Amino acid sequence: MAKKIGIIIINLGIVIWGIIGFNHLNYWERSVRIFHVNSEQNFRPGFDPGRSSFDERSSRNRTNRTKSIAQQSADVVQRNRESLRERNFEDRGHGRRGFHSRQKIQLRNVVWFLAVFCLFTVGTIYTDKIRTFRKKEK
Amino acid sequence: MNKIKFILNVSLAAVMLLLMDPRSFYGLGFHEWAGLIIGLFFLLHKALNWTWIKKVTMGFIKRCPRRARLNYVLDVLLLVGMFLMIFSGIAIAKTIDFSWLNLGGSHMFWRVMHTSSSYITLALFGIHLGLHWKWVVQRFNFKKDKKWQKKLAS
Repeated sequence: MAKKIGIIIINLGIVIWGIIGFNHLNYWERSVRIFHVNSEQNFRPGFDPGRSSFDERSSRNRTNRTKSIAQQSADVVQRNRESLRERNFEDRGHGRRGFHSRQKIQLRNVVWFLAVFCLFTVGTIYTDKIRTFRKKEK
Repeated sequence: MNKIKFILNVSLAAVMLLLMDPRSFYGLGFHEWAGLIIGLFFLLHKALNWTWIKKVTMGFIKRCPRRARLNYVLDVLLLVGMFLMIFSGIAIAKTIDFSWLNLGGSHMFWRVMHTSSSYITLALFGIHLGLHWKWVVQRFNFKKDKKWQKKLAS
């Protein structure tokens, strides 16, 4: 009996760990993302898939007319600086580095993937057990 | 034979998990080479279970039990997932040059395809393991049985 309770507690722990990992990795969102894109989409920042290319071009011309070249380039520089600062901050926060500068082996994300993997495994084992139990009852 | 299968399956699962994050282990180089090699190991896994595949394929509609059919469908989905994962990985590879393949499509499309297919395939791997859990438990029991037999013999 104590062994069974122990197993149930461990499995509950795995399920909770898996759910946390699932949310942490945005698992569902990333899994179904492929069904929302087409092969030619370029993912430009601020790109609106519903907008036609003509609308896009005309709006860009309008913006070009209102802003001077100097103003635009200043904006671009500012935006680039901000994104670079954000990226650096994010990298430091998560302990990340570029692909080539990596020297330490970090398995933090792998642990979350392991959690999700275990969640699916445990979920399937118990679903299967319930199904077998019901079948036996019938 | 079962021991080889077990070791192969455990290493497949471990490498698959390490490959889920390209930055985690030895970087992108490891990710790309190991990704290609895991495809070969996956085919080896299928080759080792060829008798079962042949049997279920022959009697898929009439003679097969429901569970075998479910496993078969899941295996086909896994095969498709693995193919998409490796194919999209080839399209976005950086350390290995596959530009001569001229796969077309935008880089972001292949990237999203690679991420989504790997996430879905990992989930399918988990379900696959769950459905074959009895086999895994049997592998451990087999060891115990052997020890028990040795004890009895001595």
